[in-house]
Amino acid sequence: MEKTDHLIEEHIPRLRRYARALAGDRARADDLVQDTLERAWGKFHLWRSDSDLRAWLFSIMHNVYVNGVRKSSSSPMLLPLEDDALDVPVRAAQEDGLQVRDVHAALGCLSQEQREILLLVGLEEMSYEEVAKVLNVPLGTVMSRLSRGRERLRQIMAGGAVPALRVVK
Amino acid sequence: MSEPMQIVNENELQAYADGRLDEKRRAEVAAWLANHPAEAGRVEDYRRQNEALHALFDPVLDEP
Repeated sequence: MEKTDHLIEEHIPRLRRYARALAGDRARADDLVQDTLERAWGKFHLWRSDSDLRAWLFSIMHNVYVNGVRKSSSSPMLLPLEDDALDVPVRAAQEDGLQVRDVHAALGCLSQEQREILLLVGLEEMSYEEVAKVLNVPLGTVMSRLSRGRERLRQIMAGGAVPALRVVK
Repeated sequence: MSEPMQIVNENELQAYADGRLDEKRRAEVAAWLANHPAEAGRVEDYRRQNEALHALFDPVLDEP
């Protein structure tokens, strides 16, 4: 059991980073990480030690997240955009054109499917094949969602104004 | 660029933005982009999106 804890713990910082980007605020991200870890510990006997533990953990987080989104679909999630809701210290020296806070806001305007893929590729730097495995979709779907999501993000950024509150589907 | 360039497809542009092409193909796509400013601008924006994501969320890695 000790060994299990250690194996999973190694991945916690990255699960937290992904959860924060996905969920939009700290409280919801913490819940997402907690639920993911509980499920992972409970199902650890199902993990095959010759397979990629990181991909396994991220696919659990994906499932937890998607189920949460579905459950809350009657009362859509609203992501607040006040500065203090961002909850991450933004690194300085990122001033050339593209504003990171705008990216954060624009992320919330993407579909859940597009957001996940943009983050797994751009932030987690998973291979496209890994992303397909984590999300359980064909590689072609990953590529088309990636392409559309990035272009949509780009257009939102180019348009400048992002609504202060928006419904996340 | 007088040599005919192989056609660059959308997936390769994504992979270029992500820095995932091998060295040879990367150079070919870069040469192609030099003649396709609209695509070059798009790909540069995608690369910056990745940078912005790291700037925004990498600090979470260091949280206690």
